[in-house]
Amino acid sequence: MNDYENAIEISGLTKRYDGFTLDNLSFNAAKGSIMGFIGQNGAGKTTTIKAILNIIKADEGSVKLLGMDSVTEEISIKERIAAVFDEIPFHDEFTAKNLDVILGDIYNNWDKNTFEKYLDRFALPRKKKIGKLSKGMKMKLQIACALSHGAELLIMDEATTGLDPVVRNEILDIFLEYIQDENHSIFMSSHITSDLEKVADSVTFIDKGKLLLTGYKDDILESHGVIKCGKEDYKEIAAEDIVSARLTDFGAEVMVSDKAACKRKYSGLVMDKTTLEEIMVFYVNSPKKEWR
Amino acid sequence: MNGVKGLILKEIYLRRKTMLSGLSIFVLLFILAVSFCLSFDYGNMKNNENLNADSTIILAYAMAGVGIMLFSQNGETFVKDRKCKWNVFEYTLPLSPQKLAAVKMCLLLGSNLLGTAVSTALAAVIFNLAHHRFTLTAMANITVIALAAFALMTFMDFLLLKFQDPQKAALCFAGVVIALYILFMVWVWQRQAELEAFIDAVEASDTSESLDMVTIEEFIAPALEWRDRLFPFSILFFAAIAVIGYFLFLGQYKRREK
Repeated sequence: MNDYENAIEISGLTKRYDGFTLDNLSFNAAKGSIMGFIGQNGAGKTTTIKAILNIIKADEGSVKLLGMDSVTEEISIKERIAAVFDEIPFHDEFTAKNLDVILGDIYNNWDKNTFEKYLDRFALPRKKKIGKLSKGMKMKLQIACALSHGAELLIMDEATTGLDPVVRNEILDIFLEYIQDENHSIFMSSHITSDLEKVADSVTFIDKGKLLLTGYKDDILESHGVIKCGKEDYKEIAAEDIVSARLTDFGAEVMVSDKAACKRKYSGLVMDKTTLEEIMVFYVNSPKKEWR
Repeated sequence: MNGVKGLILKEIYLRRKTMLSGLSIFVLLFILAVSFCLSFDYGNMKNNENLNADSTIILAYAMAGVGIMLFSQNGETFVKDRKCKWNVFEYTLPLSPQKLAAVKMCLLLGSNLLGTAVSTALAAVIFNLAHHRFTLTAMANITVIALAAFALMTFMDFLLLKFQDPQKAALCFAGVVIALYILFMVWVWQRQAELEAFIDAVEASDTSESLDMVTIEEFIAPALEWRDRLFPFSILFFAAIAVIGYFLFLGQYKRREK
């Protein structure tokens, strides 16, 4: 096992398509943490994940997983990571037992006992065809497969999308358990920001293929705020302090990226805490500066 | 050899039903051929002047061809893999392109050889019932059918991997087969024209000798001669197709999604 600081290191990642470019992305996901990868639909989350997993070939840039180059050491890396997708990539006619046999042969470190343990925990039938399982059960089965070969890094692409709150909560609890081991890391993309607020240590925002923001979740939440003010007060706020402003009939909601400084500067104005969802929305609209 | 057994089992799990259906059709064809044979000795074909048991020989070869093709189908799993996105998931597994290509080729070759073995055994039964000896010539004919099926299935699987689209692959496959057929027919017509010119020249000369009528065997005879010469080396042809196919598959498995 090699020693590494960051579970994922992305540097200058670029992928060009007609009409969309993943543009020079660079960020790191620290070992032993959960990174939330946030963006609206079509922002480039899945493209980034596919480039990380070497499913698509990047035009420029490099990706390191667990301290190793994702292209030259692909097979070694893939023994030690697991990917979970929004739709289960297993055939409807397979059963959990079939998967145990197939994946048990593919992975060197497949642990049948761990897999059985997760099947019991999730109350998943062993001989029922996957096609007959509910969406939540399918996702749990996929996660059971991901956690049964000693993976150090879980990469998840919208894994909780479309699941009911009970199942989502159950899955998030599994992730928090998984991360108790300091050698384990999770990289999860989602546009359900409430999930990431619960579990993520750090977040990276992406929009239209470009990196908007990256850093520790608490720092980002702490440093950003929303000023709610009338039209007259809004005119007093300096343009360089504004990420973007949502205009209403009565005034404006203004997102600022340096809450502490703006609190001192605009002491008469109400400054509210913000959420990851609001940060995403305001940053996405930042090119427009003002929007409704 | 990690992963080889898993991948093969995956294919078997997916093709179970289709293989059983194919086997059922194959068994039905066999029963049909047996019934046909028996009717020449005991049934209503006994006194038929127009047909004889030789007709069942052609049926035996057709049955063998169908059997080999039924066993060799890989396209079904290709479609299923793409439907559930297993092909994307495969990229996240510790499986090298070399392993994936090797497993695919082994499955294709293995299923072809299995189909050939079963077809040969059953064809031998048909031959015996038709009061024909199952000679090396018969085995050579079935081997040619098996080789042709193996080459065609390898090519089809390559097209599926290349285009990632069964319809495009099928169109390209059909196009190549039609092109080969057209080339063959051009050769036949050319040969026919040469023979007719030769016949005209001989008839124009003052000779009392008569010429035999040109038959289709004029075209088949060279092919049969080559078949008999090359049959002992058929294992090399299987190996050559397997090696070429492996490298074609490898090239595709090394590709990434766009």
